[in-house]
Amino acid sequence: MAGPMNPGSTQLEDLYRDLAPALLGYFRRRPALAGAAEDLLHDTFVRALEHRERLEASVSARAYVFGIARHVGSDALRRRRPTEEFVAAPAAPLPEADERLEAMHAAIGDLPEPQRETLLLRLQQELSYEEIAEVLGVPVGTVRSRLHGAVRRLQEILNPSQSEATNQHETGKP
Amino acid sequence: MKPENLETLLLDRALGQLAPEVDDLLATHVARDPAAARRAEALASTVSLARRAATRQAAPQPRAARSDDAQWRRVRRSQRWRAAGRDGLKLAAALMLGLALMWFARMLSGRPVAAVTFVSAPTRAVSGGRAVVLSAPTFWSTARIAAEAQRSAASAEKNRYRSQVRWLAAPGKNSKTEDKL
Repeated sequence: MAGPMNPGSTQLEDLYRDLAPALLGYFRRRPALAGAAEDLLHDTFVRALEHRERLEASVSARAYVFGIARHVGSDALRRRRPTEEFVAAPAAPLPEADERLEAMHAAIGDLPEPQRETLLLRLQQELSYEEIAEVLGVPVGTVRSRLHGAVRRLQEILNPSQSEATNQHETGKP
Repeated sequence: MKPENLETLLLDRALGQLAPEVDDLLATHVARDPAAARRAEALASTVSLARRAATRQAAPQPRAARSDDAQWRRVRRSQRWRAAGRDGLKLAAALMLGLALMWFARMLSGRPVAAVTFVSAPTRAVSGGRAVVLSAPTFWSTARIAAEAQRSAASAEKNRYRSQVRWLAAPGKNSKTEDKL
């Protein structure tokens, strides 16, 4: 799936079968796009077909298609101008209530947009640093920095005492 | 190992992006450093919880193969329509350009080109000391045209009298002409 590919439509058809569920999930997790997830998936692959020669130059087919999906989603958001909040996502009912999970969900929602988007591409879509860099159009170092910043921030929010201990450990102070 | 380097490696490890050989070396180091081990565990726990929170929405059900086929056919059809639309637009643009060029070439070579005359001042005729405006550009007002015509007529009269006065004032210089007169 992520290896070198022939940019033919057969290859894209296979890619469609592989990535359609993940892309649907990607769109459905964004409240403002959830209702049009299938249409956006359709638009994503129409665009991929139109520019299939660019697949060859991409890090991976997965990153390429997610990059297109991101643009398709942004275009749709721009057209509709909705107010989208991660914390307002209509989450499925959890099997068991978990306060820490709720707190983490809220903390992710409070992250700055670039960090949140990068973190979600890593955690939800399991994209590598290189793939995320291609999707977002930023250097790999920026992806790493955003992810590290996001994880540190989440830990600060959820475990302030541990963060203080870590700072002491890093600076070598008792 | 510097603490900041250790922190970076631990974060990469928690995010599952550490190369296996580096991971092995880091595991050896962490096993000997209890503080690093605690930090590694805390980071791993945070990332794990974040992953659960991020993916807690119900995962979309994998679609049936037949439905996928139908969806894919829809994608292909849309893409073909779009491509056909773009080709049609290109063709129409080329046709329009060709027609325009043909019309222009025909205008230049075969057919007479309609004359365009720019008139910068009113055309006047003076008959019997009375100015008649034959044509006037639209950018002059009627009052201005009339004034110009009158001025022109007056000027013509003045010139006529002036020449007569000249003839009369210098009789010796133009004797032949004077004889004729």
